[in-house]
Amino acid sequence: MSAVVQERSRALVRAIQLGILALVIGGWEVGARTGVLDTFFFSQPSAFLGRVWEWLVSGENTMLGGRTIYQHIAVTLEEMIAAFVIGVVFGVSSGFALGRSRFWSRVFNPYIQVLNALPRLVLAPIFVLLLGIGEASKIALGVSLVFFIAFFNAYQGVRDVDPRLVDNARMLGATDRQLTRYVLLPSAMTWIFSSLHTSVGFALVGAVVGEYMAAARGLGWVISQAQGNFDSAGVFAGMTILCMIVIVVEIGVSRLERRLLAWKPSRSGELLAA
Amino acid sequence: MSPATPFVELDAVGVRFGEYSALEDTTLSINPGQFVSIVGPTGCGKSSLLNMVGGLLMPTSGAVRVDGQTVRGVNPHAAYMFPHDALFPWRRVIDNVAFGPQVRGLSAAAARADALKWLDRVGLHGLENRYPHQLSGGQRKRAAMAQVLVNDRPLLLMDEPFGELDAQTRALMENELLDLWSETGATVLFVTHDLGEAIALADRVVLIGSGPRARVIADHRVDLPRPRDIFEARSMPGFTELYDSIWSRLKGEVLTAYERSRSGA
Repeated sequence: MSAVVQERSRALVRAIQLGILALVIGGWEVGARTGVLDTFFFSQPSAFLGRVWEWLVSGENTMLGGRTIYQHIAVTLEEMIAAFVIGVVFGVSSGFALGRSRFWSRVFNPYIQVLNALPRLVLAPIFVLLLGIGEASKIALGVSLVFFIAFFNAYQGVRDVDPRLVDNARMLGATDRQLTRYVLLPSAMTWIFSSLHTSVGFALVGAVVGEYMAAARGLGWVISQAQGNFDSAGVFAGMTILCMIVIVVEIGVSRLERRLLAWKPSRSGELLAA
Repeated sequence: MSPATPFVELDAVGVRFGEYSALEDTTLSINPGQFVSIVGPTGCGKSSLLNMVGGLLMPTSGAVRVDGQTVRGVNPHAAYMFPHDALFPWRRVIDNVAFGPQVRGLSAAAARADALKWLDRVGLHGLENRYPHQLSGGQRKRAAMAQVLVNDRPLLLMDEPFGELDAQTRALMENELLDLWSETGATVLFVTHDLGEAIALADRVVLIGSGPRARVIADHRVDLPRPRDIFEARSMPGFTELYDSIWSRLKGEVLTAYERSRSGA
């Protein structure tokens, strides 16, 4: 009974969602054709979706600097993944280390607060100066964003470990090392996994913003090139491709999360449940 | 009756938390294989006493000895079943039970075999691959019992282990505990505030007075025959008399503790 109702309401939700999308795109197109929206600034869906089609399917590399769109996507994804992995490894290990030592966490506290308060995007020009306009400067920007998310979550995870579980593990015979490995680490992991969406998102932000500022390839570069040529269709086409990537990455992360956190009581993640 | 060497000895033990003196000058000796219930009003330091025997809490004065050795740090003789759920939520039931053998250095296969055996014994056959949140309250207690008993320690500390359960499930679990205990011959310290439960399970009921500065104020032998059935124990001859005589003493302490907590609040 309730399953049927749920099935029906799901179909309804889906239908309304598609309706809204059609309304926005349709309204946009109509507005552009009737001259209500200036296509110089707002382009029009038929134009930029046509561009997306050219890039992805017919293989015409309009405004792509002699590369295919897939090469640009690969560059951006590469930077994102590298930034994510490096940021998480450093963030988690230092968060874990400081979480275990009250003394050192007191020593480093002000530095961490200041660095975290600093808007990291202003570091982008410095990374370009230091590392050039290649992938390294984008990865560095992404790392600076991801690091703190991973750091704070790991730190909190170690701090918030249930003392009753610690007592239980010790009474069951765990040594200090085993306690770290079997209790503190898994307990901190739940925090780290729950920040996976945010950190993957920030890794992508680092890559795209870095490319947008100074680069020779990548999706950020594609968008900034189009902007420089007053090619609004190119800007929106680049954004559309970025959206598609974000959706695919989100679905992947959700899958991964569901597997890694299988032991958790199921939550009703309605907003993002795809 | 009493053999020469007690297994657990509390020698003039006191414990303070800052200004507050929870237990004072508490002396108790427990023979090997004895099942001892510890009862007392809320806040009398029953749990502190158990924590000291387990080595999770250092006494401020006096000494705790187990098997002739002073307890310093986690007591390797003791298994501890906590009042709350202390299963690791990220481990499957079988891996929760295998935790003890695993950290003791057994191979993964041997640890899991041990765990399976104990899951069978506590009646969780077929549920080994569930996560704790997928179990009912009673099943979680069974899993916790298996997790604690798999280590085969000679001393079992239990702090209101079945407090969260409904009355029927609780009685069933108590019966199973008695069965399992009779097979192991372990010494048991069982903290509860339920006097009926205390008497029905134990060889001996130790009464602790109300805090602060609580101490042992009565010590009763329970001569009900074993093996015992919890459902029948309460109607055995002698149960009611014993209950009334301990309750008359406990009641006064409970009232005192209640008055203190009211005036303190």
